[in-house]
Amino acid sequence: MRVSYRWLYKFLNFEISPHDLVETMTMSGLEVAGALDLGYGGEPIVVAEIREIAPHPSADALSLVKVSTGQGPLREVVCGARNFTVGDRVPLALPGARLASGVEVKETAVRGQKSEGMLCSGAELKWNADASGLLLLPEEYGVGEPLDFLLEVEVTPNRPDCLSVFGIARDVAALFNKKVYPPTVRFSESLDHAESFASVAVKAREQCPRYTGRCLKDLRVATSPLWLQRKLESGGLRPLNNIVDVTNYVLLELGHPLHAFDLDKVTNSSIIVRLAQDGETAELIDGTKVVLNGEDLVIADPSKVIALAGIMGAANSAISDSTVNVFLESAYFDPVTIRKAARRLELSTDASFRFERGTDRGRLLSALNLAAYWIKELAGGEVAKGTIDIGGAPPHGKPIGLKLTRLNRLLGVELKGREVADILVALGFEILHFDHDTMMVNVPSHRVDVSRDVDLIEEVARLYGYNKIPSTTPYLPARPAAVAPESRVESLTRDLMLSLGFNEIITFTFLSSQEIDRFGVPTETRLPLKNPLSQDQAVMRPLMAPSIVSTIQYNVNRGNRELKLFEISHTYRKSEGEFGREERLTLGAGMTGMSSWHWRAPKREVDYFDMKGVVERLLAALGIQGCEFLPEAPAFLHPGRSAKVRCGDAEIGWVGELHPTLEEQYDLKSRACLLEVDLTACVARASLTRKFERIPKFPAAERDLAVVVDELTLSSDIERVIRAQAGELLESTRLFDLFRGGSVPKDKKSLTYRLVYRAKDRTLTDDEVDALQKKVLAALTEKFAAALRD
Amino acid sequence: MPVDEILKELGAIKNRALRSIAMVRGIKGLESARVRYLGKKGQLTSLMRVVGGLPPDARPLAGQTANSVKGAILQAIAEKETELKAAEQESRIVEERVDITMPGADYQIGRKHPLTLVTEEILRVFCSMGFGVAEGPDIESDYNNFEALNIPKHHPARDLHDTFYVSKDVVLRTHTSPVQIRTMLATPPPVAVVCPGRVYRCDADATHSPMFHQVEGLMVDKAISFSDLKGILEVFVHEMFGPDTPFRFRPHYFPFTEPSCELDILFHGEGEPNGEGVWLEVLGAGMVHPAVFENVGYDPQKVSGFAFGLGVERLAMIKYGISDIRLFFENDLRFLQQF
Repeated sequence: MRVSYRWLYKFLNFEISPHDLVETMTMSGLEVAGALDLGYGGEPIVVAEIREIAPHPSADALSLVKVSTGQGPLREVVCGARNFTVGDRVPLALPGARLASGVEVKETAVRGQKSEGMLCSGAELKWNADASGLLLLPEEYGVGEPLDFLLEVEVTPNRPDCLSVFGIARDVAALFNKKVYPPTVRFSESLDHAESFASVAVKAREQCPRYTGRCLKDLRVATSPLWLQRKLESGGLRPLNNIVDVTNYVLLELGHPLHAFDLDKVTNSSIIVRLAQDGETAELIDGTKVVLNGEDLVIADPSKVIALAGIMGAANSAISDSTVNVFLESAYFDPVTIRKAARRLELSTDASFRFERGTDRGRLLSALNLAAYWIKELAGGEVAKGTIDIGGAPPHGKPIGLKLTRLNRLLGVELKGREVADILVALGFEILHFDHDTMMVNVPSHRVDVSRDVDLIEEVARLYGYNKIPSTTPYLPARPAAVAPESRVESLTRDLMLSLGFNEIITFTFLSSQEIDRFGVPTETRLPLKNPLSQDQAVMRPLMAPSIVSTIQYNVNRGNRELKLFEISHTYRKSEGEFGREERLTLGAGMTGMSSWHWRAPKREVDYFDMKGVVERLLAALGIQGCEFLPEAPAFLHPGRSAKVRCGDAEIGWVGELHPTLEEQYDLKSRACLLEVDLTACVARASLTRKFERIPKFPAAERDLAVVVDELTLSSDIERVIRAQAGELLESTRLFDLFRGGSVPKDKKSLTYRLVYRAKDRTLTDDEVDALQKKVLAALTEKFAAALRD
Repeated sequence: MPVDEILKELGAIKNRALRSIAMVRGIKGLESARVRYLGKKGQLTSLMRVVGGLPPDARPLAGQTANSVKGAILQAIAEKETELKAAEQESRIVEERVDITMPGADYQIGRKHPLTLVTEEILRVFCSMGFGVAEGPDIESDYNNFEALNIPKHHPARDLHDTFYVSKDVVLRTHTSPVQIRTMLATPPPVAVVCPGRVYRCDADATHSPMFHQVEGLMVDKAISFSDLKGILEVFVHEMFGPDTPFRFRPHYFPFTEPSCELDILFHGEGEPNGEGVWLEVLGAGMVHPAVFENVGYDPQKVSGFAFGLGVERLAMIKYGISDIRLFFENDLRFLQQF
């Protein structure tokens, strides 16, 4: 909310500079997000004091004025006005400041005399219409201060009582233990009572517990005076006419929304507060046409809706240039009713904003009277005698019991009853009685947020000052911080990926459905958002691959061609589980570009085997054994260069190169290798405890075996046979060479394995090892028609 | 063979041997020289066999001379060998010389995302003070995300949370606070946890991202006070931003804490106007609202506690001087490799 410092200042009967005010408000919970100088941009317009006046040597109509701005040397200004004397305070626009007209003030020379700024009239500042001389400012304007500040106050949703100038002043005054008084007005009333001009019936008492109004007669609708226009503008409202402007003025000053109806357009002058009928329609003042339902509260006459209660009036009864008689409404509406309607109809107004948060039901008449006074002042006419008041002032709520010991314990302070009471009283609370430890406290009607003892404790803490509360460190029983197995798998995985040279990325967990389509996830398992921000972020991702590929694409487009990226995050699918969804911790990774640009490394693109190695290292790190790589990977991968990773009967991931079609669609310019591992599935299969194994005492015997087999023979099948035949004495086997061509016939390949044999209890003899080698070769020959390569 | 002839021959062998050893060019040549003179059939070996067959009175002189010849040859071989090895290594060193200015191997080291680094640092500070870690799902019930936290439907505080809905009563959590609810429902007091996680709001610009990260903290015990909250968060600020960082607690509003506050630190950095620093909000906190305790079955008369919530992106932006939140999620390699 925007508040004028000067307007606020009017209510405070003590000195406080804008700077201290901002600081104090911020530190008491009314955060000032920004303070704007009055004015129109550029340098400030400040308060200056006239020090010397001398005639201009070459122009009779001008004078040379020396003014003080509180600091630095006096400034010399050439001035054409004469309505001031030494000691007066006047507005000085410094060079660089803008006037209301948009003109920028410059340092100039006027008839040969230097002028460092410009002294301003009320009209030049749009302060008033007076252009006849300088604007003379009262004493309260401190020399050197900016003429006014507009404070951008962030009022939290619990403090609707601070949604007005007076409300903020009331809170600020309490901080200084000062009193503030609401504006009081007196005006004469006509002899005829309001009830003889209008009748009110409230048929929805629950939604409208109190409805008050006044009738005003024989008004002249006109443009508001400049001072009023300026006040509205300071609060961000647009001036319209004197009647509507006064209701807005009261809204800004007291925080209470009012509405003015053209009484002559209200059928039978009969005002009915009721729930709308389903399907009932209304055209509002701003032209919006709304269709209402049975939960909406409306103000109606016998024939039509004349306002959407608490939100906006209808066009049919709005104040116009021809309006002469007015019914002025000041009511209390139920916050939830107003909020529901405002949300559903997407109509948030200054009125609904305040009603939703809770208005001061006890002060409806003050607002009504303040408005009646100003309308009478500005539009003439008469105020009919008395007010219409359906519902009356609310009874006091139940007093709250506040225990001093609880307050002190919760805050960690040692306040005395007297101190607590003083704070509460300064804020307008009433202490009914206080004995021993318990204080009974009555809540003023504007504090709709206070209903429990902690609410009072917060008020005390706020005014006492959070920064005066001591800092202590609590005693915590020493307990092991349990680490969830999933977190352990996550951090092991992250460490492994980093050590393999992959960079961690973090991407949005929602994608467009078109993108997911490319990856072939069935629609029925997807989790779409009901209100996505855009279609690009409409569905919770069922797999990591699209995010990884998009990130590769983003980087490739920016010239980052060698990429090794990974993310550990969640994937989401519909399921029978909690809230109909399943979230699985998932590792996604991608790599593309040359495997190395080092001068002596072979120049080659990364491929399937680079990524498969990552999966193998990961499975080893997590202690997951017995995994198979099967040629059944998802269809978005290269069919000949991809594998599904299966562990027992569970699928735990896949690895492979992106399908050439997708590679082209994403315009990646180079092979992209991907992997995805379901870490949630890994948690149950991981074996993370380690046990020391004795380092072998006896030497190993190493043998190489080069066999020529059919091109389609799978290496994993050969290894399986080697392991089975060599038995327990085989410590390890590894494929270390693939060779085609030369003496190897076409459609054949030569595979060379190194077999390492070792016994735990002795040194193996050559004969033993040779016998095993022969056995292995015989089996390979039998199973795969393998021939020993010469 | 007469003795003086043998002596003469020994002298001749010595001269020949020393001369040929001196002329040897490599280890192989040296070895064949050794074999020629000292091998089983070598010239000296053969002659020494003859010396063995001399009559006893003639043997000592011939034997001594033969041994001294053998000693001289062995010494010459040893010296030559040392000389040859030194030469060989020298030539290896010369041959193996490389251009030491060429680049070394391009080991690749992956880097953690800055948000991970900051999250880990936050967790480290709190875990070192005895907090455990708890996590919860991204997709939450409206109840856990709002109602249990004292934000009923149609409460104006919902305006502060632009919520993504999955279905009518299921949302993408707008904060990590529902993990408080889950933790308290699952554990009796005392509780001390920090809860890192992704959160979501329908909002996007340079300082707002529809997905971002928070770390929630919760401590509940018999007599936890606001001054305990201050003490713990003070430790955090000093660990995170340095021991001399000025900070302040400012009253604020959250429906699920009362009293509530925000913590600001005084920040000196780029774009900051007058050298006095600017106050930057780094977290929100407060004493757990009794209504929240009631919702999880804790007795607000018997326990009290505090909760706080940190925005990870915000801390990372302050820490690294990043002004656009979108950089975190674009994952440009040139960004990622800076941390």
